[in-house]
Amino acid sequence: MKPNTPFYTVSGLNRYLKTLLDDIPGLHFITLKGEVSNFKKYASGHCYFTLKDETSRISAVMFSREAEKLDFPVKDGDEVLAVGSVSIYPANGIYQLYVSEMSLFGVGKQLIELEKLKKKLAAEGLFDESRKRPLPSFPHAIGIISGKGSAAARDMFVNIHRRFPIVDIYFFPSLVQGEGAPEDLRKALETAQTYPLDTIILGRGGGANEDLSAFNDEALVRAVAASGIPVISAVGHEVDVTLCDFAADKRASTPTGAAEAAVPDMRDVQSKLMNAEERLQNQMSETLKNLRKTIENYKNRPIFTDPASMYREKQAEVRHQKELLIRSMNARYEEKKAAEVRLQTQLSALNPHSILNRGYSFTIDSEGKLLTSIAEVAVSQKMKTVLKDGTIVSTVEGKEVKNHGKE
Amino acid sequence: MEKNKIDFESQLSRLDVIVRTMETKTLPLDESLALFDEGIAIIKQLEVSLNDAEKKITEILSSDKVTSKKQ
Repeated sequence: MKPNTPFYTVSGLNRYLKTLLDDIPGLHFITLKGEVSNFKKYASGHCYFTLKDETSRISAVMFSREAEKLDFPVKDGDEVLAVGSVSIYPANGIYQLYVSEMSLFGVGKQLIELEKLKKKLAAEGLFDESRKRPLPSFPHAIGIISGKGSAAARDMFVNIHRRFPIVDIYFFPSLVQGEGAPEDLRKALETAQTYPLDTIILGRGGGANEDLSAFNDEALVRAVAASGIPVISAVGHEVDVTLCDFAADKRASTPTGAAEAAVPDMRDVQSKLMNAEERLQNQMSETLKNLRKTIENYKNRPIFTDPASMYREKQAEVRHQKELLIRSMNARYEEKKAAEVRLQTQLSALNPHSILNRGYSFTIDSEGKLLTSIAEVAVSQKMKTVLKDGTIVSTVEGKEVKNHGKE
Repeated sequence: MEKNKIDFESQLSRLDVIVRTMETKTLPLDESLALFDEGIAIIKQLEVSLNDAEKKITEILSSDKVTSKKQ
């Protein structure tokens, strides 16, 4: 090399390369598909990793401000779509992809499809609150569609039995994930319609999004919405939501929750019954007690304790009246008697025999007619004069008239 | 499914009506007694059916064959 050859500094070169790259529009806001490896998230929140395919790799960084917005937990092996820009970090001369957004490849597409389907079905009204039917409070028979032998199914059997053992359970085992699951579930739901069930529980345990995807199948969701029997959807855990959950009449977030929604707690019913019984007994006691008191009160009225009082007064009254009557009768009697005596005396006085006894006599003519006046007497008339102890038979010899006014 | 199915819902409603009527209205004695008897009868009936723990899970296979297993 010649002694005066111009030279770059390392910093200069790197800076130059950076400006070159930064000027290429095609390297900015590109979407890169690759597999994550050597992923490390630092305390600062910044993430450093490598994106690779079968033959090549590139360094990548996602700073905390962008990494915060990640909606999935990035791990090695994830196939991703990363949006970012390619640039050189001058300090170490390494060119990297500065990632602003990242999502799982495939899942991203799935989510978009799912969102579209959800909107379509919602627009048809399949998820409307008004379509949701109330669940029977005391079902006679419940249908359960779940994985054969699954923990979820067993959970539901156990909990339903614990709460309300008298309900009949019809179990329709089905595939709950993988290929053929949506069809299997749909067939199970269809079969269940032919049984006299009050409620159907469609459920499975928790799982990754892919595992639950059968419950986003359009035909299945439509079947759930069209079910003539109320459906409880119990798919996955609290945070998992599938389209079946929206279409069902009720959503339960766990198998236990499904049991609680489907059947009442027998103990509640029993305590209600005991309470009702107690209230009835108390009420009846109260009624009888009051009735007895009322009867007792009547019993204590004088009319029952001293019935004689009823007529005693009347008796006295009668006695009184009787007395008055007797007294007045007596009085009348005495009165009459006195009158009689008076009359008798009068009569006695007027008794001709008394008069005769006193020496007087009366004279009658031959016909027995009493002579009271001299005018009735004729000379030579035959007449009788009655004395107290006999009669004078005589003939009138003469008569003397008393002078008027004299003597 | 030949069990004598009691309609819990309507029986409990009736019971509620009975208890409330007895507690709030003044009834002639014979009506009180009649309601009381009816209420107690409903309670007994429901308690008996709750205690009837004969439960079975019937598994319906896709071939429409029904197998019943008592638990």
